[in-house]
Amino acid sequence: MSVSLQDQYDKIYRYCYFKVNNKEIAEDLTQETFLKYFSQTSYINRGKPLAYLYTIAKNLCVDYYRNNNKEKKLDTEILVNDTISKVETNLTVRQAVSTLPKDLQELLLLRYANELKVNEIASIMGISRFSVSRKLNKAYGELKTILKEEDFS
Amino acid sequence: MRHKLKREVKLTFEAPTPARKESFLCQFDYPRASQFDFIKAQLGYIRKRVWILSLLLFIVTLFELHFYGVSTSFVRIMSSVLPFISLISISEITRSVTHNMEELEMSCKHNFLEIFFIRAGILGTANLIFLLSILFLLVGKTDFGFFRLGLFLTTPYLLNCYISLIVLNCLKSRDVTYICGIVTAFVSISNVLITIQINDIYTEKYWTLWITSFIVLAILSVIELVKLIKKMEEFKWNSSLTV
Repeated sequence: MSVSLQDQYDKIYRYCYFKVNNKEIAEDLTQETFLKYFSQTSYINRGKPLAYLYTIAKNLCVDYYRNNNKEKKLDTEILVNDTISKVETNLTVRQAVSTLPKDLQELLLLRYANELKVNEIASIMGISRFSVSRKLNKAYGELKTILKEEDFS
Repeated sequence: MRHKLKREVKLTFEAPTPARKESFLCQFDYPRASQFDFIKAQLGYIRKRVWILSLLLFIVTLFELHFYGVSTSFVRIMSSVLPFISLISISEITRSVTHNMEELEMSCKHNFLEIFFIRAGILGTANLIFLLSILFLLVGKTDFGFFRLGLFLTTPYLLNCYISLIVLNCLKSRDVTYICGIVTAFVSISNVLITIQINDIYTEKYWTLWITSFIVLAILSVIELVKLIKKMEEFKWNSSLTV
């Protein structure tokens, strides 16, 4: 098993968990993402673009909400209850991140947690690279404002 | 974004450990690229100038053959030109060795040795096709038989391969291609000078010398090639220690 596949599994799982906030469902969706990804042989030999993997995961998360939780709005906010044991600094940052709009949260996840490049994020989110950079700066600015009392300089 | 904040943001998105990851990945039989696809992909990575130069030499040979006919001097010229074909192939292999491709292999599906073998195989096959084509074109038009003609043409080629492989094994810098170029020029010019100096070099008198030279050079080239492969395996081991 290649190292990159293990690594991508974790990243897609993290992404799905961010979208659905449920460990079991996130893992189901992650596995379904990989099965779908490899079921289309046209991309395999030259390596599929990473964006395609995320697009599948994103669509599966949307489908999941459409089929199972029609009345419930897609909730992408970060839960803070399950991380009560985390250090205080991280809790503050979590709370700060959870106040950001969901698209900015998703950007932060893709850029800093999943360590994707700006152009990859642009493909996944269907926006320009310039727009990604602008939104990242905006997210940083907002976080800085919220966390002004904390020592992050 | 400041480093500390980036780290904290990363931690913010931490998800619980996936419970079924290992079992899924162990059972997951994902499709892999076939060996043919791998060779096809490597074919694309060989620089266009390798094919263009090889083709150019072949066209020039055909041109000369058509307009000037075949003579002993033509065989002399051809045997002096052939080392340049091997130089083109050596320069392509040198590129892989000197640019530290082995350091990338840890994150790749195929290791450096596999890639090296495939590339060397592709280039070797192309050279063989080139050589056989020339041989078949020349064979009826000279007094030499197929094997003798093959011997006259390939011995300087093998000499060039052998010295170039020694250079490749001893040095590991970007100047290797230039040194191999000097070697090729030396082999080619020496071949011209020797064959002009010794008029009857293509006669029965020197038949044993040609056969012996060919066999010795072929064995020495294989030995150098084995050394190069072993050297690559050492690189692989060294790289694995640094991971």
